[in-house]
Amino acid sequence: MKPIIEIDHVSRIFGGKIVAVDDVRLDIAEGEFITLLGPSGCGKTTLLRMLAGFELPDRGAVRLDGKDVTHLPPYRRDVNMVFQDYALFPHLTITRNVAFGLERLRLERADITRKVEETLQLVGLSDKADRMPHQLSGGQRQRVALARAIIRRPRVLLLDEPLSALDANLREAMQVELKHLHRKLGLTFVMVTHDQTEALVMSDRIVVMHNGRVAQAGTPSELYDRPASTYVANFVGTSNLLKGVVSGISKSAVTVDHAGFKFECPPVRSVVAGQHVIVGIRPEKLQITGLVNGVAPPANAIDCEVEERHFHGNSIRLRCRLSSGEPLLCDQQLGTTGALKAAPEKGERIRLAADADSLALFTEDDRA
Amino acid sequence: MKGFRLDRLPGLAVLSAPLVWAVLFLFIPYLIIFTYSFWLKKYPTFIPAFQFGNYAQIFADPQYYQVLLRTGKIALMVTGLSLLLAYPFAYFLVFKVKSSRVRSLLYMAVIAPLWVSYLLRAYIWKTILGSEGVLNSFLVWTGILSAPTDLLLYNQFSMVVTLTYIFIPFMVMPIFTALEKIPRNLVEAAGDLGVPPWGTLAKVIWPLSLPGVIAGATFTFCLTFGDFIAPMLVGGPDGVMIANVITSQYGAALNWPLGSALAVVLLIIVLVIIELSDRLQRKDRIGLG
Amino acid sequence: MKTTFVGKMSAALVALGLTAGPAFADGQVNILTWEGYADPSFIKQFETESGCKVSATYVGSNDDFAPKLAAGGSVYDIITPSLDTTYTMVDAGFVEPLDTSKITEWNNIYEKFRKSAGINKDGVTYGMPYAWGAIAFMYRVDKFPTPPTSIADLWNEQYKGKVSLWDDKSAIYVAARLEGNTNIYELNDAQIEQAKQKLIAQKPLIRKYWATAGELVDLYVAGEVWISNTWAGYQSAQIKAKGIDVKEFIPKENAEGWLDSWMIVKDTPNKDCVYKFLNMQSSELGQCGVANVNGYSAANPIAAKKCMKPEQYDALHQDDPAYLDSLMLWRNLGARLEAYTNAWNAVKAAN
Ligand SMILES: Nc1ncnc2c1ncn2[C@@H]1O[C@H](COP(=O)(O)OP(=O)(O)OP(=O)(O)O)[C@@H](O)[C@H]1O
Ligand SMILES: [Mg+2]
Repeated sequence: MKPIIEIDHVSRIFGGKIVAVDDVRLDIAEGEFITLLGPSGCGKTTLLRMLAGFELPDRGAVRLDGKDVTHLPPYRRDVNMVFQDYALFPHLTITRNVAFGLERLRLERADITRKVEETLQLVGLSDKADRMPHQLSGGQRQRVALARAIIRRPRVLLLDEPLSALDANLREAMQVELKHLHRKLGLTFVMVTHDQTEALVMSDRIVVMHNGRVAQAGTPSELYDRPASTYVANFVGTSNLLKGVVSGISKSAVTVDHAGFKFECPPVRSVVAGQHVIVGIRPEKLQITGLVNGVAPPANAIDCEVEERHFHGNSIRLRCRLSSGEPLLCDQQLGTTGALKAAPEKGERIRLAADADSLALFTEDDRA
Repeated sequence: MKGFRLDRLPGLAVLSAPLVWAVLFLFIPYLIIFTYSFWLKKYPTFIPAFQFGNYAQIFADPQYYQVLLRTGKIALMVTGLSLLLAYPFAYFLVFKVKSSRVRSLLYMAVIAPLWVSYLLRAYIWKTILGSEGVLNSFLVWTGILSAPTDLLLYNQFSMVVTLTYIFIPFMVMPIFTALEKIPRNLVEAAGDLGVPPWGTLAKVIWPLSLPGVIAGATFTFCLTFGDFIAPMLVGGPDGVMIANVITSQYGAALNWPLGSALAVVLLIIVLVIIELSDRLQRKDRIGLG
Repeated sequence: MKTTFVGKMSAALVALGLTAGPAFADGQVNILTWEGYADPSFIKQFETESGCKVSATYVGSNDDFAPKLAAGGSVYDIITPSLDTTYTMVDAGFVEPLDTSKITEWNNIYEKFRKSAGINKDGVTYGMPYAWGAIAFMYRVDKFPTPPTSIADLWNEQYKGKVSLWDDKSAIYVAARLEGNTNIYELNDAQIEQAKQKLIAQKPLIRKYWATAGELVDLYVAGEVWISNTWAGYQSAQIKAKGIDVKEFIPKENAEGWLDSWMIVKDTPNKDCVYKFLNMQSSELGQCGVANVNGYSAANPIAAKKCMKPEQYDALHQDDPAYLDSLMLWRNLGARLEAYTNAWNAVKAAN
């Protein structure tokens, strides 16, 4: 299937110096819910604005539905944007805000009225139709912004941190609604966020950005389970990153030594013996196999001392320290009553083990 | 019981200074003018009285409302012309000029003449518009005119041009400020919703800049309405405005009572306009929350 | 007593700081006068000889005297209104009697002037005649192959847009004479209305009404005006000095005549300097001073004869009683002033 959006080696350099977007290549499929994720200043908004037409790429091209739209002004692109701070027209009622994008489509008045009513109903604001924007709460304004953008049924809906101004509860509710809307309308959504949970919950695919470049693009589970770099591993979820040296290479595994412990990692990278590498382990993939005893630890097991316990409700996070002095996080589910009591106490020395499958192997180059 | 507190005194003093100023230089003069307006003209000067003859004269003698109408007409033309010039200029500055340095430079270029003497600025137009002035010489030189025209100076046209030139900063400033206050993403949102630039101007930028337009229009209208120098310098025999009539009542006619009554009428007109504009602005400002 | 009330009101305004004037001190004289009447060419000498510092404020019209005096007490010591205004000053109580015995040259001044009604009331003299002349007419020589001889030439369509008239009630006198009314200072309402209509009809021909002497000079120099009335002797000289050839004429409908007199503002604290000043102005220094600077005729022909060349003496009609008698010497209009100014204002207000 042809992608609906093709971002073809696009760069944007502000004032000849600030490289905001750096040679990004990305295809977005029709109907996809895709998220641009990354820390502040990594170029998410700039990339989104180039899709909307507010910003011209300095290099590269943007194609919409196979057509080059790189230099097309915003008002001639079949995309719509939900602005981070809503950008509602303060002098117009909610109805007229929502109808704004229809006025140039030469529709019948009755048609417009019907569409506005439908859309307001869709976002649950039918009773606020005659209010002015300043008479609405933040969440309600957010919905108006959404209604205004989707009423035109654009090929692509662009959302710049649409939920960032909402409080935690409202945000979660809106996440569900957005997702629901996406399914119902069948539109392509491109959303910017710097909230990894939001990205994981909502997206079909996540594009992790770093310094204007695409660090990795993939489904949430691909990113989570197979991060392409320590950067991604750390940005999507949490990872323990342990430095080590390659001590053996076989068809099925790469053996890495870390302070006397051995990890047998899946051979996803080509490495050579003696190379310095990094092993990534998700805290929740570590199982407590018992207290430390005289027996030497098997492969993929590691010993440490519990320094702190943090209760998270359905789980407990142990902050441990390895004999090498490095910290290690370990999450334990509290599935059953009494599980909390059974959890190791502060000062106990425990042995942890992980599945070989859950280990990630990075070379030093992956750090960037 | 709340006792009188000495430490409040400095605060009172700070408040009372402008109050005293307003009483001395605004209310008392207004009161004096108001009082005079009921006095009676009697050779050689005038005498205290309480009668409405001066007001009656203003409404009975066509020369006064003729001049009032003309003053209103000229003030309207100056306001309209200023708006026509100032709005595109301010729009260009705010939305089209990318460099903020160039923007403030151009803005200053319009505002700077305010620091040049009014008389000098009005005088410049005499040398430009005169029968043997710069413009006529140019038009004759280029062959557009075969002989210099008298139509450029000493008439209402030259008054409107001069007054527009003099008061246009008061139009540019509030419009510029209003345009600058419009969040840029509203303009982007309009474009995003399929509205081309001129549509955005009509549907978003213009309505949101209305408070600035109203303020600017009020300034230029009221300033023009009370002007008496342009008629003297560049106005012709049909250029007398209401302030000139007031001046001549205080001067040549030595009829301060009638002059005061005219001043009171002028004051009322200006106050009504300011009040109307204030209401309009308040209505418009609701939108911006 | 009406006027004292005005005076008090005005004094209150001054006390409030609404109007400000120069501070008064000994050894000075503050004059409110016409441009040229305090010209450095003769005032400098007076200042060094008398030790009196002269500061002058200028008026553009006779109508400026009363408002300036009504607005502020004790700002001016001495004024020079023309004969149409002098009596108002006396009636309004703005000026005080003149001690003619303190003026050495008093008896050398034309008797017709000394005895004129405008400066004498109930046997008391209030003014010292100083300079006189005609409200003549003037045209640009190069624009008039046949020299104009009548006021009617200011109503000639041919000169549309090139005509100017003094922005003063004098315009009514001009129009009235054109209508054949020679009693220009005693016009009745119908005659004033006639003059008013005549002036309104003239408006399309008018380039601009001139308000100050300098303005008319500028209008001629800038090529805006070809024909107008003028303060004889004064503006024509300035215009000629700027290279425009103009010529004055007395129309067949005659010309108004004017006389300016020095009057002392009531209760001036600078009386010493004031009389020194009056003595200077009525002597050769002041009389030839004003004649040389302004081109006006002198009120004291005896003094003038001593300092003028015979040609100048002749040109200024200093020895020509017939000429003086032919001029329609201005008069105070009294309560009729309002009718005249109203009419003139209506002319200016008309579209
Ligand atoms: N108009 C501009 N002029 C100059 N530099 C800009 C401009 N817009 C953005 N930048 C710079 O480009 C880089 C990327 O900005 P961008 O707004 O795309 O980041 P972002 O990922 O959206 O960040 P955030 O999460 O904080 O919104 C930043 O360094 C920013 O300072
Ligand atoms: Mg952003």
